[in-house]
Amino acid sequence: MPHALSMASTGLQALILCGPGSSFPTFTSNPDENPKALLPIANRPMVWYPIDFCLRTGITNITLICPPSASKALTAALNTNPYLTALPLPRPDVLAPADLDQNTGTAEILRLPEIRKLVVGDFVVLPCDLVCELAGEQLLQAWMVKSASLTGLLGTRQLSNGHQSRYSGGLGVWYDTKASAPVKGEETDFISTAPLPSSPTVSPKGSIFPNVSKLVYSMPTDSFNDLTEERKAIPIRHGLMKANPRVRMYTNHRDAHIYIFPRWILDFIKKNERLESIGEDVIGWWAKAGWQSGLAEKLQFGEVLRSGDDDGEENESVGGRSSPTESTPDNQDNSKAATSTNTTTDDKNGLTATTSAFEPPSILAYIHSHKEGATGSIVRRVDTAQLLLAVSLQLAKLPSLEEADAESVSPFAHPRKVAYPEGVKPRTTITKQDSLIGENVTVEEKTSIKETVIGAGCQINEGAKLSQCLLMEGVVVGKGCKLTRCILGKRCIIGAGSVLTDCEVQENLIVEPRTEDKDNKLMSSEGLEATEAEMEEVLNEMDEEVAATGEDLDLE
Amino acid sequence: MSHKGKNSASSAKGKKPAKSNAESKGEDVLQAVVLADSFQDRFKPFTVEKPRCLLPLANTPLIEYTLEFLAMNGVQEVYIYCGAHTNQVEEYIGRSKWASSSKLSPFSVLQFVRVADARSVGDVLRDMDKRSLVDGDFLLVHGDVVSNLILDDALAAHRKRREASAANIMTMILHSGGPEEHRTKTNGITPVFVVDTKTQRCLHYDEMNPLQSDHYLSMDPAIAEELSTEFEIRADLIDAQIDICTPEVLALWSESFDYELPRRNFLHGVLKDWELNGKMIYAEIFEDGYAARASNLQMYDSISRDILGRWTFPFIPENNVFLKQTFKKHINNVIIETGASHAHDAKLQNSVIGTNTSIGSGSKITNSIIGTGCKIGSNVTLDNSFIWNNTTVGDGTTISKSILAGDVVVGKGCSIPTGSLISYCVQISDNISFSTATVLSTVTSTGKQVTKDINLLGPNSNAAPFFDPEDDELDDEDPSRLQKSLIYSLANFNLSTSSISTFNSDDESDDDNDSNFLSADAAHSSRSRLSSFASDDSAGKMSFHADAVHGLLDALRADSGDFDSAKLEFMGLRLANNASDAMMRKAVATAFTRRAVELVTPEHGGLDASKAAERAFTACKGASKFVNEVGVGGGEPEQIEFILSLQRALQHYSKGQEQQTKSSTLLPAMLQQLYALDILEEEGILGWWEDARAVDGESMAALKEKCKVLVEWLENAEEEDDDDDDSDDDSD
Repeated sequence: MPHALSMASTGLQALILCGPGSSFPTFTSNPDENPKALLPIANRPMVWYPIDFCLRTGITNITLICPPSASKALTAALNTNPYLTALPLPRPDVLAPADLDQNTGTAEILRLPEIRKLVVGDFVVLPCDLVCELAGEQLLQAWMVKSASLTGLLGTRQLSNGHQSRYSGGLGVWYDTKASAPVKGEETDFISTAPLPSSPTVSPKGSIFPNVSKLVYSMPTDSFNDLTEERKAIPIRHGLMKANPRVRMYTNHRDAHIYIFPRWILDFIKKNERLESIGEDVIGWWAKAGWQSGLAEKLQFGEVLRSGDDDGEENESVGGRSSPTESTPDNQDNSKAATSTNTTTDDKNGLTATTSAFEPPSILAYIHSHKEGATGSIVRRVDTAQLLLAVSLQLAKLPSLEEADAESVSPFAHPRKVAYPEGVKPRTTITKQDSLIGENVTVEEKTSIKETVIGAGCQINEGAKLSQCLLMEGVVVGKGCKLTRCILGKRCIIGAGSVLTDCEVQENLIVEPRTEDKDNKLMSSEGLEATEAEMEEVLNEMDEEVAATGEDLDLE
Repeated sequence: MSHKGKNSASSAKGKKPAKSNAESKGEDVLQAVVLADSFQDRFKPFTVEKPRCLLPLANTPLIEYTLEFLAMNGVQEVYIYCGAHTNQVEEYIGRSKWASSSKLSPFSVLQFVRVADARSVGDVLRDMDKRSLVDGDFLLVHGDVVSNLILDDALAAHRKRREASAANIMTMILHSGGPEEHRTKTNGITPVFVVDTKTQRCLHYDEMNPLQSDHYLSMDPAIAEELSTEFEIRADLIDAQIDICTPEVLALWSESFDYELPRRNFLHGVLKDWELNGKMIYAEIFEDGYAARASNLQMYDSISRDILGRWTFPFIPENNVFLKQTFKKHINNVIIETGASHAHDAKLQNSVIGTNTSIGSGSKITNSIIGTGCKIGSNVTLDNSFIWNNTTVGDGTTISKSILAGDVVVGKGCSIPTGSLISYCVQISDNISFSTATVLSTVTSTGKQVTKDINLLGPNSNAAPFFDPEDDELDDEDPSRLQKSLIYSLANFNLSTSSISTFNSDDESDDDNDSNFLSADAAHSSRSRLSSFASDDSAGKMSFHADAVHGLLDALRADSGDFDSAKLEFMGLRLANNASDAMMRKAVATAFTRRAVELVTPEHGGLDASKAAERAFTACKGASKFVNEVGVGGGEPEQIEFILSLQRALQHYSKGQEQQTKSSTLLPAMLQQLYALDILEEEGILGWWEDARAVDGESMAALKEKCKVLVEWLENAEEEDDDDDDSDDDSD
């Protein structure tokens, strides 16, 4: 694996948010045992991808944040999963804050005392469902050059001259959802950016600077659509146009949830209790505060940043904050209270004049443009089953290490397309260029496997036809099955002769032979999952069937 | 531009079915329509006597720049519409190298288009459509464009798009002004273009100005939903209004009979109704080069500075692009034409000086442009000013940031402050100082000779301050007010604070408004006003007043005519614009007041106040009835409102008139007349007398004071009535 092992430490910390996550109803019905973070994407557990991204970026201080209930499964996976254990050391830490449950918002996570204790400097926040081929050091470079302040980076107040010190800003990544393997119904964000002031020097070749701009507005497309429907128009504030005469808007892009944040953002989130999620609230408000007069004060940017100047002591004075999404009468009271607090503190410090002119550091947006076929251009979030399938198949198309030239190899390339060729019988059709077959997979004769990802330990019986499917570990596909665009959960068994199209099958489920279904989620009710004994039984039956046809079944 | 390139471009479309001769000619020949009259009056008072396109910009008439730009881009046939002062333009062109008879002319056709009673650009273009003069792609430009852009690429891109689909009808040429302040960006009205990043299709057009009460741009939701996935909203563009059009553009103008302005009405409308008309308009945005329109005095000033700064290369004076010029560049960026002379101790800097001009000793001239044949005395200080041809400035005079038109004579020791405009042939006596910016002219806005204002301008003067009566008719929110003076200033305007920041002005109530940026807020939806012209509705409101007043005034001027048709027209206008009672009242009051004011002026017979009032209200049959029903139409509160409207209107129109004394007595005369006609009642007049709004401002109070006699008379009459009653009682 081409990991940058010798790279100097960047001094950044990485937080990978592993849950809560419940966007895979079929596969994470029991999120504590089967956390979303461990679902396989192209045979690797999901969380492998962000960890790998950090290591490639040169960040070794990685912490996985998960709910306490899921920490056992996650720790176990880190210690046993062959892909996770194969990652270079140091091993990521697992932190399970006590108050983190399956419904905590992402911004709320950053407000938890454990996290505040953990994060000591600037940090990177990643989701567990990120597949990002992009080299992270390019993002870091863009952030450091365009947004970070020297005083912030070095932690030396001596360099700054009083109130003029600049504060580090942040950086986020957005990608075009329609650029490659578009999936219908993928969530998108409506974002607006303004160009950064042009720099006198030409940006270095191959850098991402031309795609970095200042974020001025961000909102999930759904909320945006509600808004336009309500007002029968897209309302754009004149204030925005006056502050940024050139605004570019994107409707098909999505937040990759890769954020490079300065430390003060934790104080900012703490001060503004109403912020619930990072993507919607923190980023959205921060972007707006950059141009909307008065908003920065209201969100207490100045206070947050200056208190950091003093000695990092936290100021616990203010309670209620204006709500970004609701506007109840008591909310107005809150903000009134907030304003008054604001003025009093200002008067105390004699800073009333400077507060109004305070401009918060900006949040930058890197707009990722996908280049078809080029390495290093997959950036995707995998948070629905459809995306899981699409991205797995997309990754399966990457040339493996033995196929590709050493130079253009993707960091996500597998060593071989068929990890265990001995398990594949002759007279089978496997389209290697777009399929991926895991370890210990046995494939019987007369099978056809096209554009399919098969997890470790699966068993594909004679005459099965798989097309555009994703099989997790230990799946058994019965004889003569015909599966198209299906996602099969761990250790499920598909009875012989079944024809399934566009189906999702829950883990450990036994699908009756000759089931025909389309566009369905096959799930067992609680307690109806197959027991070990039943599975044994079915396997034996299959053995018998195979034996009856006079062929040996090689159960490796 | 090479003609070869164009021919090859047209031969590339050989696959098209053979067309008639006329049409294939259109493919080869690039035509241009020059609108030399933009139906605006932002250059008043200068344009009262001369057309805008002949005003000198750095000593060369504006139209020269435009025609040079067209020639540079390979235009072969030019159609010029002039409107006002067509004869002057025709005469000028006839003597210039552009004349069809001239051998030097790069154009094969140069034709003047006369359009009878055109009232807007829209009327001209609709007429052009009827005549079918243009039959291929053409450039639509204004007669005040200064640009050095080479449009080859844009033309090629336009042709390609047009071949791809007949729905692609127009390409606008825009120039990026950068994110910072830019001299050539228009002040006041900021155009906002929404352009698709990938296809360059223009999706929306809007304008922003600081007078708007609404501070949102409203775009069609379809833009984000179906038209585009990636678009830019740009408020940083300089729009010189250079358009590459297909003849369908003219057809589209014809379809929409009420469009007047090419941008605000046509572009906005066509883009808004994209579903209906299915047409597409594109924008080519140039990063380099220069393009601007001297569309108002502020822009005139900016472009002159750009010429001095050589941004408009090759159109800079020392290049002598234009005929018969012999400028030479000297030290300190002073560009002097052969034949000009200046004293050795005159300090010149960054200026242009035309031929046969002399500058006296000790004069200091910075950042100014002086025409030909001027006489600048000694110890004159000229700063940021424009002096047109044959003007004389006396010794020791100071002029800063002003425009002096041709043949002006300014006496010795005068002081002309920033922002002054002095029109043709004005004479100012010695030692005259103005305290504020002054606009002087020898003619009124209608072209009549003014009565000279000797008090202000000294005994030798022939001029008077210039007032444009149409100024007062403008809606308070009309941004064109911002562009009327040489100096851009918001100081005199009543800006709604919300447009700058809702947040600071009222923190609590506007909380959700500000915090949600795009979200709906109650305060706003209740105001329900989209941007000033987003809905046809509000556009109508703006023009209602002007249209209504004009209509009524015309009927009143006709004197003996029947008023019924005017009334019909008025009610029609009212319905069309959904005008409120208050708006109607204002319009009626304004119309009658103007008529009365007119009648007291000497040009119209100089009637005395009571005669004028009587004539205004009774000369037309039905006029008094109309006032009663429509203007007042109600009890005491309505009557008070109507009197207030009269008073305000009178305050506007009596301004600056010689007969101020006479016209100020108009108010009591009109009130008396209305009282006599039983339109107003005692209660109404007395109610008005008590009303606080009637003394809102000095001149209002002065007007009110004039009515004292009338009110006293009314009060006495009342008392007498009472007395009579009493005595009756007594006698009983």
